Amino acid sequence: MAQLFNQDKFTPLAKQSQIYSDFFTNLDVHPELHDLSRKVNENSVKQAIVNLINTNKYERPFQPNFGSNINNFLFEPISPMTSQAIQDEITATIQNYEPRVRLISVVVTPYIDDDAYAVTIQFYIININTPITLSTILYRVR
Amino acid sequence: MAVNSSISLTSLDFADYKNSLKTYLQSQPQFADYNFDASNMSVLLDILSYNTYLNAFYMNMIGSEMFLDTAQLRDSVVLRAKELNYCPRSFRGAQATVNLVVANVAGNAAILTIPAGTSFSTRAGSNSYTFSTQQNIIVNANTDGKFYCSNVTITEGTVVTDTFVVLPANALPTNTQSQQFILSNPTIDTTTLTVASVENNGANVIPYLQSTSLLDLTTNSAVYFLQGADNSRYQIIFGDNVVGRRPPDNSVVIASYLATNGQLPNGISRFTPNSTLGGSSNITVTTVAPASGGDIGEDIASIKYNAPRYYATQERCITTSDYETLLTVTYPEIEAISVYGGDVVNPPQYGKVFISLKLYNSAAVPQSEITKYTQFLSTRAPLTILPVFVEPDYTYISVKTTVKYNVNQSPLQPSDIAAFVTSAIQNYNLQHLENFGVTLLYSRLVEAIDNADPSIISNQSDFQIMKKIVPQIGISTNYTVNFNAQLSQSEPPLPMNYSSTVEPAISSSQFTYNGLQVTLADDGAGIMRLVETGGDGNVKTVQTVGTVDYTTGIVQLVGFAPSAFVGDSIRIYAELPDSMKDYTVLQNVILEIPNDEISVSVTQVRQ
Repeated sequence: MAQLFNQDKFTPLAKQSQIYSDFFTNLDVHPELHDLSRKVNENSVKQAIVNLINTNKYERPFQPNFGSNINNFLFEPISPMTSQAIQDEITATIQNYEPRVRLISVVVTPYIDDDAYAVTIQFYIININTPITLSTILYRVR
Repeated sequence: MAVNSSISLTSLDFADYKNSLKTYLQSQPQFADYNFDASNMSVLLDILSYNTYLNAFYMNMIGSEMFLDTAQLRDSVVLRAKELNYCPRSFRGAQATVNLVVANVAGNAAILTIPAGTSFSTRAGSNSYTFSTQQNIIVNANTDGKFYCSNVTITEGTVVTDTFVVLPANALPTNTQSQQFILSNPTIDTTTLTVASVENNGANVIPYLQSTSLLDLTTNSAVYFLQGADNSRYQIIFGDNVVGRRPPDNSVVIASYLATNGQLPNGISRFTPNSTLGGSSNITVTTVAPASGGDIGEDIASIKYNAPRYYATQERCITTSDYETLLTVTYPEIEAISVYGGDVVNPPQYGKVFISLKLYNSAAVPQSEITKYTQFLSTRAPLTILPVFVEPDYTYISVKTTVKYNVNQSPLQPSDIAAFVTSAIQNYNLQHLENFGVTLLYSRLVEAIDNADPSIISNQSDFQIMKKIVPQIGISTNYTVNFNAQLSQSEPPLPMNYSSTVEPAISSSQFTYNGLQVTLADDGAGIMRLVETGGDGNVKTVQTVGTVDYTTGIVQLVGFAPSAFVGDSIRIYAELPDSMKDYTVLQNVILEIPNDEISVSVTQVRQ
């Protein structure tokens, strides 16, 4: 009689593999496990991109070029030129420091009344076919 | 740390620490974003790495500052030296010697007191300095009614007084074990420091003397110890009423000293009194010796060098290096020193130690300085050993070089190349010679000439050793000139008359002898002659004047009585054998290349 293995007895549940995993910026605790909460895959990459564009150059020790100079642009007069400069800066920063991402587009929209810019970034995560959209707002003071 | 990695224990690099943490996390399944710089995980790794890096850096600094050899901060070096009972040398006020003549003293006084602190002002450039006497001087009136005071030593500096109230133990600030008496001015000349305690509301004034050891100290010994403190300052330490007396509580300690300008006033020779003496302003100041000996405090490199050696001497002069260390540590004006026992001189003089000194900015060592050094050594040298100070004996090197340089490689003119070569020789002299016990290395000197400019292709260099004698004019005297080396001899032996193209191995500068313009020359057989160069280009012997021992390098001039010579001396040149081009001097001989003995010829070539 042929031997029956476990995998022949049960049909496994489809489970999404966790390629990327990170913890929350505010170090949130999981409500049930009481362990550190995690962000995985798409959410993890989104969080990394927000971190990246909110980090100023010379902010990280021993990595002076890491981050972007967007903070400087936020104090410039709001104009199409400034919006374009921010867009270029975000594009270059992501391409340089986020190897998991293939950019589709970066759209920067000025909110003149709020002294802010709305940023919409569309991208693919490498090896995942679903396009992802990330929206955030850049304020002068965060 | 890492399961699958080795820990880099010797690394001090931020990136290495971070990589080590990443390697560890690769074995942990919970988080995967450690490898992406923008992740929160990466921020945490940065913090951990940075913290480790800072800790490692601080530990490294602490480790370095704990040892005399590796400490970089002056305060640390002073602390390490303190453990060796070494007190860094302080600033030294320049000292000058003057003669004073005071006339028209009020009341026809028979005695004049020149009080300690009598000040004199002087200027150098835009800076003004104050010199003052350090002790009271009492002078009797001369028959002409004036007061003549000779050889008065005045010291540069401004008097500073620090006052401390000795606090009872229960009045000390919190967390303070004992009261510290730190002198406020870092430019203090510690040799001028006087300390006294005023006790019983001024009823008693107890002078304290400096001590450097515990020997002979009792409970009542009024002594203080001096040691380095932070920020280049100095600290007074009193006894504990067991070994050395401690000023009683609530007494007032008064420390008075000169704050000086170091070496800046050196060389000043004009002084003007700032006040009257005995009511008279008719004071004539004549400078006997201009200001000298001023120096800044000891630097870190010097402390590192001197402290362990000072400790090794235990403040006793036993070996030659003990003498050298103690004298150079105590007297900063000493530029070079050579000490050797009487057993090595010829003939031996047992029971003596010979000391030869070269001072900064001084051609000779004044007798007053020798007296000072002798007194200093008398309490530190063994009883039966007599220190003898001998003048340094200068031996010079005369350099003649012909340099070829490639004009295709350099836009410089021959005169420029000559200047560079001269400068290179002078630098070699400064760095390797001008001292006792040095060796002229022929190959290094030739190399220095080659390296004077990149366009120099080669050089043909020759040097002679040279001694100066200052003969008594017209008085027949015997002279001995000792080159202390085997000398080359004229070969073949020279006849009585020979062509002026022949150069004798031993020669001299020109001088006048019995009305003739002559030079010295050896004959190749051990006889020194006076020779005259005639108008026909031939050299003829005038007379013999002594001998030369080529093996020992001793030239004897017998009954030598020139009637005139050019310059400050007669220069006697000797050549070394080709096989012995390196030249070493010993004992009290200083070797140097004078600027006027450097001869450079330059040849241009194209290649």
